[in-house]
Amino acid sequence: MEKAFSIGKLVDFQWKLGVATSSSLTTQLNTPFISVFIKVVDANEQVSSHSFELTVPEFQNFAQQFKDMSQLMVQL
Amino acid sequence: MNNPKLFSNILGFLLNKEYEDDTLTIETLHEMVFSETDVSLENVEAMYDKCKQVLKKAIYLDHNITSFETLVKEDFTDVQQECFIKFWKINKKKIHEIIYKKTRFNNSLDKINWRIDLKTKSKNVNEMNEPVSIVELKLKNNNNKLNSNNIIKFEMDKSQLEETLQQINNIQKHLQSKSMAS
Repeated sequence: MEKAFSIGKLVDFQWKLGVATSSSLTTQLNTPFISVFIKVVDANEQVSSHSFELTVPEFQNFAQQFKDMSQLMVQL
Repeated sequence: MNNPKLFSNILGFLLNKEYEDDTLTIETLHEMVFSETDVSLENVEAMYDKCKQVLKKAIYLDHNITSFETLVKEDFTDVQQECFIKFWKINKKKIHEIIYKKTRFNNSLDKINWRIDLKTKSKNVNEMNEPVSIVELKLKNNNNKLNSNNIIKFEMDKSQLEETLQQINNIQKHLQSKSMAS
């Protein structure tokens, strides 16, 4: 595997669960969110970092995609 | 202006324009909805602004139905109040979501695509039979703009996928324990 080129590998996956409590638009925001921080290293050993923020429904969809992948992977 | 259909049209238009980034102008609203009536453009503009201020306040203070009823009591006719309250009941949750997304300064995830490959052979390795999942994440910033830096591609073998999934399950457990899962 090591010698076969790859499109990039996931090297770090960090997350934070938080609640946005208020903002300039509303005093009662009270919305949970999930921040995801990932690091990917490409074929040239270049590391790039990315972060994004998900609402709970967005996160549930994100989680489902990984579960679907995993289910198919174990069959192989 | 006391016609419930016309008034509700103003509210619907307000929601689209102020909160869903619709670029239509009030002139267009006047043309589309009020052209057959004797309501002037100035009157539509004034009513639009009045509703906008009330809605802004209700959002800011996160009014429930009772306090919303009190808020609209003085400045609107009975028919208008009824429309406005109904509008708030139907759209409160949706507006709340929009308001959250408006102050999401970090990237959001626009799309996730994935594919599972079975790597069988390469130049240097005769036999691999190693399944990998390839994931592409498209990120979007707060201005809804996609740029090429925001497309992330990576692959994971079985064990990496399991590790990542474990992290995701942890997040779900935390969400459930804090009753945040919707």
